[in-house]
Amino acid sequence: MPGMSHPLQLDNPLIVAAFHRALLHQLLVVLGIGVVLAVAWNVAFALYVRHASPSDASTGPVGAAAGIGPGAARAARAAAGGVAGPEPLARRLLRLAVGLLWLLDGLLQLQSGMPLGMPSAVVKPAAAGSPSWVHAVVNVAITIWSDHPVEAAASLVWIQLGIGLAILLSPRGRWSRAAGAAGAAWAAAVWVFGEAFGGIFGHGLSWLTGAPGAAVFYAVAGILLALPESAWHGRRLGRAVTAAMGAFYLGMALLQAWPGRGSWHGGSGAHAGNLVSMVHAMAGTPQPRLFAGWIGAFASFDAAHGWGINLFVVVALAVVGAALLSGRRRAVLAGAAGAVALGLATWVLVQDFGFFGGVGTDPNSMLPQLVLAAAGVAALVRAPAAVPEPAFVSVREVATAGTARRWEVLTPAVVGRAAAALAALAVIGVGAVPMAAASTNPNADPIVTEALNGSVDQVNSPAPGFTLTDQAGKTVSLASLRGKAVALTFLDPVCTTDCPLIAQAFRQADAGLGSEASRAVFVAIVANPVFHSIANVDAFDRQEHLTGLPNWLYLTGSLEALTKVWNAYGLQVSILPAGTMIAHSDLAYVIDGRGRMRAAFGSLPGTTAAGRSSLSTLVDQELRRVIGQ
Amino acid sequence: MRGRRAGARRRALLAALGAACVAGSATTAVAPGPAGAAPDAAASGIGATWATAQGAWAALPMGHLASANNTFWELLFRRTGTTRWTLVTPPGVATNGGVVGAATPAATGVVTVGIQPAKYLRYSPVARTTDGGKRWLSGTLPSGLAPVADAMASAPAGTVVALERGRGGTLVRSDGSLTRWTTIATGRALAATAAGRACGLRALSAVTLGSAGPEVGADCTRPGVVGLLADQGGSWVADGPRVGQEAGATMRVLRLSTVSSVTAAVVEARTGRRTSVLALWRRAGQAWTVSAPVRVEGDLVSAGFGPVAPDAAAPTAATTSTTSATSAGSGASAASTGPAVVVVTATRSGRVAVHAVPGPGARWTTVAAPKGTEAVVGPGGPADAGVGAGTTALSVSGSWVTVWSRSAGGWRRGPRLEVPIEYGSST
Repeated sequence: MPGMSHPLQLDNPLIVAAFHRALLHQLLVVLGIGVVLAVAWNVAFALYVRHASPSDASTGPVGAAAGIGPGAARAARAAAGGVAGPEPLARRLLRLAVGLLWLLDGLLQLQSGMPLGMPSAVVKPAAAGSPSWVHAVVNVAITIWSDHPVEAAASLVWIQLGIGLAILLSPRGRWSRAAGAAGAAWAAAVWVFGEAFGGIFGHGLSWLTGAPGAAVFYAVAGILLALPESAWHGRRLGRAVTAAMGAFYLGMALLQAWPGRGSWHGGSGAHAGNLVSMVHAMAGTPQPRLFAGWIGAFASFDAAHGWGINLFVVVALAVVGAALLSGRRRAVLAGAAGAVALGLATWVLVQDFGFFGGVGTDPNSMLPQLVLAAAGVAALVRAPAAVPEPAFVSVREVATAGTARRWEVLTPAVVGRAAAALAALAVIGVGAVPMAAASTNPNADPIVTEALNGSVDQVNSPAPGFTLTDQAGKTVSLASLRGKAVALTFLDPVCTTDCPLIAQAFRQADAGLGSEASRAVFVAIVANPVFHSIANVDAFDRQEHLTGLPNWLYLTGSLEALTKVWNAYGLQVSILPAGTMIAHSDLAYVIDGRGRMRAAFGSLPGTTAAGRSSLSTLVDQELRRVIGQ
Repeated sequence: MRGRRAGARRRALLAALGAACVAGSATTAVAPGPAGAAPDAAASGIGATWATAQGAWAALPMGHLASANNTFWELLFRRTGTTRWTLVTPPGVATNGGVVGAATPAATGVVTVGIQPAKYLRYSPVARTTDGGKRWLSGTLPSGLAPVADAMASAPAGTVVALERGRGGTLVRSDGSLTRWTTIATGRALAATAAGRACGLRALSAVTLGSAGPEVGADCTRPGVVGLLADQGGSWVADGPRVGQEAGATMRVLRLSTVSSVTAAVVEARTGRRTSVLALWRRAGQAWTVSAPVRVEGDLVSAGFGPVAPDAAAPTAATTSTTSATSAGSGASAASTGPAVVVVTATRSGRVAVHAVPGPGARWTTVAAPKGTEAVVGPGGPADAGVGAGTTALSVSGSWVTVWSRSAGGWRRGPRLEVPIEYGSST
């Protein structure tokens, strides 16, 4: 019925089933790639064993695979980009933690509410209160996602799992740095398009609620991992990271203390401060009762003591910031301990772990922030001694050095690492490639409209005939349209909601047919028993800029003639009182050139541009099917 | 080696940027949407009441008034000689934008109603009844009605004039078919005439059909001048009076109606934040009679006219009550040359006031009205210095209309009418 459009529910079964199907298909592709790489590793292993020099062989294949022996040592050194010794503790800490966070984020993307929930429940709320240019930027991503919800949601799963795997499985060398860079790039994209710049251009920005966005910390972590490993030797990097974190905490303290931003009062209801509002919202998300109880209790406490809590937070942030900024070992350690305590408390009591509610995309800002701070402290207090940057030794240089043959550097360990990195890259590609292809298609997937209206009924029966009058006053019958594919729908010329949108979807479908549009005709029949004059039809055509379309017919007739057609096509039309528009079912049919009905489907356009675009894609798809026969 | 690698990186980066541009440009391709941006449901400004020989009419907003898509304008009718109000909103079209009515002078009983555009509907369906709203004949305007209370007027011969949106208001005429319309004038063109310049015409704000032809009211910028322009044989002449008591105020004609050779107008006068209302009457061929201004607080909710006897003898009084009576009139007798004028205002705190003047030369009376009052209608009988027993107030709360009657003791709650609003039907 027009005017009764509702947004799609996040758990729409058709979309969820398609999402799961896509994930399954992509998982099979990932497994296939894994098998290929495993075979490659085994082949490499076999080649190594066959061609290994006696000295290498003396250690045996197991030893070589484990990196024992001169060949393996050379190879390991080559694979590590010329850096010897164990991976610095701080880097390893950062790499493992960030890798695990990416994996967690990828797994969170598996939630079934993601395909439909990301634009409406994640991105739009993140952009709320931001200036219009931020909305314009964010809308690019929203449009792509809304048009292709299944591909988009599935892509995020694989991209983030892939990044996590790449970071975890590539401990050293170029692959590891590339993984860090990939993580940084993706995090930057997420920060801009998914977090609306972390809300930094909006109102009420607060460290407690996640400012300046979790993705910023992922991006910084990725950049640190992308640095040459030599940067982790010595205390310089640790000093820089802890100082930066200190400055960050001091800045956040200042922001939190700034008057007039709603941080200093608790309150409740419409007069609630930022923190109480956030905590109440988090408490309302579906989650275990225990956590809801904690956060609910904290919300009540903050409502009563808002000023005091903010004062504590401001002071604590300032102290932590000053300690980290000081650069003194003991102060930094104390500051880091304070940051961990404050961060974890905020993560639990304010951010509610960040990932409940069915569309949580990450554990919010505290964990990555603390990981970063911890890595900085570790780099400061447990840094290996600084060594001069070794000359880069490439595999080719090793292979052509005269003392080693090409295959010699391809030890199972090297191939294994390369295979792991390639596997991670393949996982990213499994998500990214279909998404990139989908994003170049401006027409939304038909599945969006099918989710709104149900699946298309493929039929093959004679279409009920009609003889009506078109917008120019000429008589038109279904028989007169023989030879052309007909897309038929019913529109109320004085409708204020759906019918103009359906008309635009048809107009878009006409444009989408390109040269084949001459073999199709788009027909609408009036669905209003009161306003059904040619003047009404003409006014509607002008309103919707349909008057210039050569293959557009808007048909009307006497109430008796219209009623006969409505009944024949199963259209329900009823007059409602009290200033309500006509209630009629939104239906569309595709009729082939022989006058046989071939497809029947609902034409509810939904409340989003994606719904309308999807409807036009579906109409095109069905028309092409008929034209092609 | 390094140089080659750097070059390769640069090429890869450029390729990635190129791919991103392709993706970006793809997303800017045209997506289907309504042919124009969806405007918010624009209300017709203020509600209106009017009277015909058959009875009293009221067009008022109902539903969730804070939500444009759940505000529905309804048309109520009370047949002369009865106290029962009935819902007669034309069927088949959503009325979220507003409803404007035009009663044909004389006792033909013809009422033409226009529907304001709302959401994706940008032209105005129109409908006509001759039997008090039982049956409606549909028509259409090619464009949207201007968002004013008197955007339509009709003549006994069937001629209808309407004020469309755009170009400072576009005046169009139909021969009675309600489907074929011709343009008479535009506000922009009239602003360039001597008559338009005389008042500093900004936009047309009301239209009526007098015996000599169409007359328009305007929103003007020149202080103290009421923007009224009459079509005299194809040329438009300034017809509005100067108002000495509001010499510093800019004037906007809120209502304009011609019945039985008497044209009446309600004019809003603004000076800074101060708002006053004036009533004007004129018998054909005579000069305007202008009431004293009455100061109003809050927003204008509705304005209406009482009936005029065929001889223009006995205007209808409106309103009453408990609060102060303000303003001054000339002291002349109310009996005579024009209908009663009733204006309803409401402050943001919900305080509703009714300002009534029984006719030319009479005083304004300001009284309090029940909360939610959207329209006040006189009893249809002789005026009673603005405190007429039987004056009716229609207050609205959601889907309910409560009919209040004025008696000596104040407002008395009468019957309630439930209007079957379909909430959500226009979202």
